[in-house]
Amino acid sequence: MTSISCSDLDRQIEQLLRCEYIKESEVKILCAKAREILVEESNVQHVDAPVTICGDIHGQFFDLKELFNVGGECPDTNYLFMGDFVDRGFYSVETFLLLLALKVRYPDRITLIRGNHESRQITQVYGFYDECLRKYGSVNVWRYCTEVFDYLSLSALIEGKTFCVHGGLSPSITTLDQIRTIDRKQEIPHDGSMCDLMWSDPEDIDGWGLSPRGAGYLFGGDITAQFNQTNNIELIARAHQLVMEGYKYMFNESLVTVWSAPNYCYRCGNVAAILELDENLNRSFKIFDAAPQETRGVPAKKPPPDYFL
Amino acid sequence: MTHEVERLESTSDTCSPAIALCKSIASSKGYYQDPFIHVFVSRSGSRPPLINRGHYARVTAVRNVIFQFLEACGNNSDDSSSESDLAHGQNLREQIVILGSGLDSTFFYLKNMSKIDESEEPETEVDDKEGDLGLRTREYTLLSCDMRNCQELEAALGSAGVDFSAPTLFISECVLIYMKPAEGTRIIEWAANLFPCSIFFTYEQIHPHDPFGKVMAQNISLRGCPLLSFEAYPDCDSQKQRYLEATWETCEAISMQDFYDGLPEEEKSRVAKIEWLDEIEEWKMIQQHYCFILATKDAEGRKLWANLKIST
Repeated sequence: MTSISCSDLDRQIEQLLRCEYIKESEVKILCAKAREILVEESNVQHVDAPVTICGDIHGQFFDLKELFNVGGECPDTNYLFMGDFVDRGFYSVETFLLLLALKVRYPDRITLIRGNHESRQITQVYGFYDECLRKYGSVNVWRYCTEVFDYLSLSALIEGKTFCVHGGLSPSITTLDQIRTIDRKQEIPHDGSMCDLMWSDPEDIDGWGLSPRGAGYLFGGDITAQFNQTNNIELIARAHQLVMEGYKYMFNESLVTVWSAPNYCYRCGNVAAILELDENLNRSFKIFDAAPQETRGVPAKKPPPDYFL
Repeated sequence: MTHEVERLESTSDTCSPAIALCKSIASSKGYYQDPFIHVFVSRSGSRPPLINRGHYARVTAVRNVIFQFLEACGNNSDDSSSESDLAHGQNLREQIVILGSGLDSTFFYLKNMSKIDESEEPETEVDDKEGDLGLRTREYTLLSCDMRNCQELEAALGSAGVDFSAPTLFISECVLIYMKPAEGTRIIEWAANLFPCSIFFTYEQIHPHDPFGKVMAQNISLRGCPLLSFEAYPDCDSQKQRYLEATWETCEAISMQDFYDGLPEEEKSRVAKIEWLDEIEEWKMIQQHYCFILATKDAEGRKLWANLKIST
């Protein structure tokens, strides 16, 4: 067993909360410890209520801090993050390591499940790889983190009633038990059930449709109703798609998209949301804006968002 | 001949290298062929797939209009050259005037494709930069002037050998929007008045009032080149109205999203395979915030431009 003391972890968490990244040697140990915890988790990780459900973060570190301001600090509030911690934003390293350090420090208080960006291939296109290289001068940290990605759970089930997944459903999956049998400890495949869970989107169609993303599927209200009925689920909570209002119900409130990256990519002008479930699974959404500029510190020569100029 | 006019000084310094770099990256990724754009670029880099795909759409739209323009002129060359022969004793020559050209490779691309034949096609690029920038050959002129002053623009084009009566295609990609509304409108009116047989093709931002548009205005402003005409022409309809009021005879304006959606399915599927684009919602949103505008005028009623469309 990797050993890491609570005081070391607390110090690392404090450091990360200041948006300072920790040493490569510390990352290595943290990631090793995280893998030991994550490997014990189920593909459909059981989670107790009350819990606060969060969508994509995408390296928007100061907005994650804003999220904790709005939702309460961990471990005072229990959290479930539905993936896409990294890529796109400027601080994927600090964001992911902070969440990971909290996971190692408070394993029963915070649940992290995998998003489609927790992947070697995608992070090489959308920024996390370059950021690790820039901040640490080598790809070691990226490698440690991507090894953790392979251990992240694929979904979570809150009190047996709220099913949480990053993307959505798969035509190869009818029951939760089928998810439980997936061997998840691998890079996200290009197709198949594990890929679909992380890539699919709900859509106002009947049945299944081809996804414009080139991976996963579109699934309709009928598919959702069938899945929920088969598995005795009341609500599917998922992330993956930007919604300008922070959250969006579909299919008679049998599915909700939760999006937690305000002003996504510093460009989209959207608000963000988190979904709080109390001990009786009563739902309440909290909406928040991007962290004010003055709390972000000096953005040292950050590239401006891209447009067609 | 291509005539290029550089854009506003600060805008030019900020935007031109950035646009050329983006176009070069998209080209090198395989979105479209442009053997020359890399010559205009002094550094390398990468851009997100959404930006690459967007530059593909933009370049494709501009090329579509250029090819239609050339075809329309070619189809009518017998008629028009005879008129022109009478008047000037020489063949009528189509002209392309690229306003705010910046670092533009269009001329070289067309020349390489043999779309430009010495006898027929002057191309001028005009850049709005103070200074002695300039280049003139028989087929290609690069000149600089303050476009907001139409007399200066007219004199500059005149001295470059532009024939005001010849069929002329004006291209303005994100140029007028950086000017005050009245300044841009003056150029649109000036072109309509001076060139009786012409096309004005514009690409620029719309929808300033929604959250995405507001953030876009702020972010582009932070680059030092505010979108001064963004609010004055907030959508396709108001853009269309602007050109029609400036005496253009026809005007079509569509969003970039409508343009992209209208591309042939096989072409879209080719493009989709180049890079994995995981930015579907943003891609839709950014495309909804740009439009293409195609205004035409044919004072002699030859219906030269009758078949021209933004989406082909």
